[in-house]
Amino acid sequence: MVDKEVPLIEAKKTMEKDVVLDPNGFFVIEVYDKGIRIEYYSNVYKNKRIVSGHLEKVFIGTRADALSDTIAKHAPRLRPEHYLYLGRELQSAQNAFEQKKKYTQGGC
Amino acid sequence: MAEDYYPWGGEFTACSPNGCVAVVLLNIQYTPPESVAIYGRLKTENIGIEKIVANTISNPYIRFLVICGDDIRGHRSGSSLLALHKNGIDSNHRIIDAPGAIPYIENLKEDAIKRFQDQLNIVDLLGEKEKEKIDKIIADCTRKSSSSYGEPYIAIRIKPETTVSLTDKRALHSKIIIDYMGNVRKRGE
Repeated sequence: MVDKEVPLIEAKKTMEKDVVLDPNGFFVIEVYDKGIRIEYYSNVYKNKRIVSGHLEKVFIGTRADALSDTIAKHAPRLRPEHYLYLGRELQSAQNAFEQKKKYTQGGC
Repeated sequence: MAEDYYPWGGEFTACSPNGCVAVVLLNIQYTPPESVAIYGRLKTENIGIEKIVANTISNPYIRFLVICGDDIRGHRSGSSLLALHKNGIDSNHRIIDAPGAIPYIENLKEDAIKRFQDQLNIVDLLGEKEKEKIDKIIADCTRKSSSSYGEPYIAIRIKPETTVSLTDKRALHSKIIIDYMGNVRKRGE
């Protein structure tokens, strides 16, 4: 007798060719001497292709948790995987900042 | 200081505030001398170029832009930057005759590009990676040291947001607290 069955799902990375770009914009993350700086751009399309972005907001901070919360508040309606990607990248950026290492923004 | 001179920010190194040379590093391992005003890497042919324009015209002392190293494969950012200075942009915001894949200027007005063309003398060292040669050319530019262009041109300013914290309890006076309906909840003590 089983009262409830819950699915067990094995993690699988989405292949790069299958990644869907977020229609609500993209982020540029940089680590500088005082912390982490994130630029949020809305997409600019030409011939249905994203070719650049309009700078909308800039976020600064030193901690991934604070930056994540702030971005979620100020950049709503992103795709869920985009928020998760940001969380991963911001943690890497925080590690680089704290350990004074070079940070290069990774792809999704 | 750097924030005042270079309002957009970005990954660059600010050195001598009144230096007349800015150095764009492409595919090259090279550290310019401390006499330059600013140096940094250029990666993308759209936003990367915009940042260079904004962060050079904001410092009127910068009169020379040295572009050195091998061009970035695919992006062709160095060649696109040269094309911007030479040709400007078309009505679709595309850098005229730029070889990059997506050389679009979307965050700068045409006045800013005009200012970039007028204020900056381009020193095209595309493909040059020899330290001694680049050092010498930078030293030559520094010796020429033309005067300040005039007022800074601020193409983009990152303005700190003023936040007002509203809670249910608002203190009008250290001893009087009203709630969000305007009713006095605490007085005196």
